[in-house]
Amino acid sequence: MGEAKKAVEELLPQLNASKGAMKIMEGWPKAMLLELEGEEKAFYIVIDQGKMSITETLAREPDLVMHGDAKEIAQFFRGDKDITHPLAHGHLRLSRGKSLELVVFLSRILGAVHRKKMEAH
Amino acid sequence: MRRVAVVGVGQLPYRSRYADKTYLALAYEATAKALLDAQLETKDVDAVTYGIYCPVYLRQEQPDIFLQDYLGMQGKPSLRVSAGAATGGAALYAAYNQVASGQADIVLLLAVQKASDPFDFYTNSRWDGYRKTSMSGEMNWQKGVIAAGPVPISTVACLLPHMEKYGGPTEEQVAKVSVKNHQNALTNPNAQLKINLTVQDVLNSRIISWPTTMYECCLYSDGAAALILASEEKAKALADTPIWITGAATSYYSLHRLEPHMLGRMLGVAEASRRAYDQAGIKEPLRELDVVELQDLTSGLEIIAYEELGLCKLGEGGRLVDEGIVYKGGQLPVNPRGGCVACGHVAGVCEVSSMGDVVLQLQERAGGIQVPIRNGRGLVETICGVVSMSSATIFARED
Repeated sequence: MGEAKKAVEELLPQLNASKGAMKIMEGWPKAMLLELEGEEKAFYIVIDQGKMSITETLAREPDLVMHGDAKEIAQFFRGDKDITHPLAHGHLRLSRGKSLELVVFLSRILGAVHRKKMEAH
Repeated sequence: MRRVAVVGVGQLPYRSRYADKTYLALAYEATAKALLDAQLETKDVDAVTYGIYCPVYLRQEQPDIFLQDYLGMQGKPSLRVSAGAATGGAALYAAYNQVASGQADIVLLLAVQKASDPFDFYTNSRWDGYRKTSMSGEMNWQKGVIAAGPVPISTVACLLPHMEKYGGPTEEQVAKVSVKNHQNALTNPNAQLKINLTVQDVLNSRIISWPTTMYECCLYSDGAAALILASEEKAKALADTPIWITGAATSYYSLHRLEPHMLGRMLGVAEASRRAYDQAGIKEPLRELDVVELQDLTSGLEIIAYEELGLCKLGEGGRLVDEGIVYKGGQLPVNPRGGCVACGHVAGVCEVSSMGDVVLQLQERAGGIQVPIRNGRGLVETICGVVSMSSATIFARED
């Protein structure tokens, strides 16, 4: 399994148990395709009914398509680096979908999960 | 010109929001504290100078009229000064000149600002209230476009060109300044944000305007602060240790034309500080000052301010950070209160409160943020976020 997919999978239990994150995800039912360098396979992140899941196949077109560096995306999902860094440095690009919409959504759900980590810090 | 001293300080803690208090209540509390500190009553005040940046944020145009009544100052001479994030510096300049010129013996300098109360009564929209401040930009040709926000403007017009022209500061040096100020805020009871950060935390936080990250940006706060200024005769009678204002200067630049010689510089800070140094007889600020409070609207601007204040040559500001000179235990501590990034910031209040901090430092009653006092001199620099209006004020203790 690739680094980015592993990081997302590790995050899923916390994300899908967080009331704050679930509320945000309810308002953003979308599917993202991640085609990342350094990752074994492309994979999808699907947000449906307030929950996030990962799949390798999808019966419909994704709403967003992300390309970039698997290591940097993994850092983001682990809460080590903000999503604006790979975007600003060209290590994360979107060939479909709006980047600002993605940044706001991911920052909000990650913020809901990592807030305690930040406070403890 | 008569000599002028500060004989009373009143500060409220910075908060993200004082939801339960109007700007009137905040102003009253800061005034009461300052008067108590100076052992004076309302009737003893000859005149009031208000440093109020933005009425829209207070939800009240002409707030000085209502403050005058609320504070019991009816009939006394007063004026309101507004100069962006340099409001406090410009207001101090006005208050100082009232006493120095002999027009008043005791002046209350009061700054109050809420940042959380804007509202448009016609559209019933909070956001429409905020949007009105875009008119701070040039409105004839640029239509307020350049009022996009102080962080992108100061980064693009000042920090990035400075890095390119002078080879510094580095991103790591800028992050170190943020870490320093966050650490300083940990011991400040008035600070709004108390978190212990590492350089990596700062560098990895959200990019607001590359390379400036979230933890390198100032907070936005509600608050109030007040100083009592007195003539020499009154000051000597009122205070055991009056703190004299030995230099007060302002300098205005308009950045909207972005002329090449202005890019990467804070020329207003350079000119205001030179005038203030001349008045105070300061030749070597790094050696002669004990403490500096300056407006780190972004951490990058703090390093450039070291250079513009003449603490080092252009391009060498990062060295003062690397060598620990500007840390609390260093040769010249800068922003021991925690700076705008951690202690708090709102235009007007931040500057007057910083002046109060320097007065308390020189009187050696600054508590958890106290630094060693050797020469008895401190400086407060203020600058508007778009690197335009600036001021420098020198405070001195005479033993």
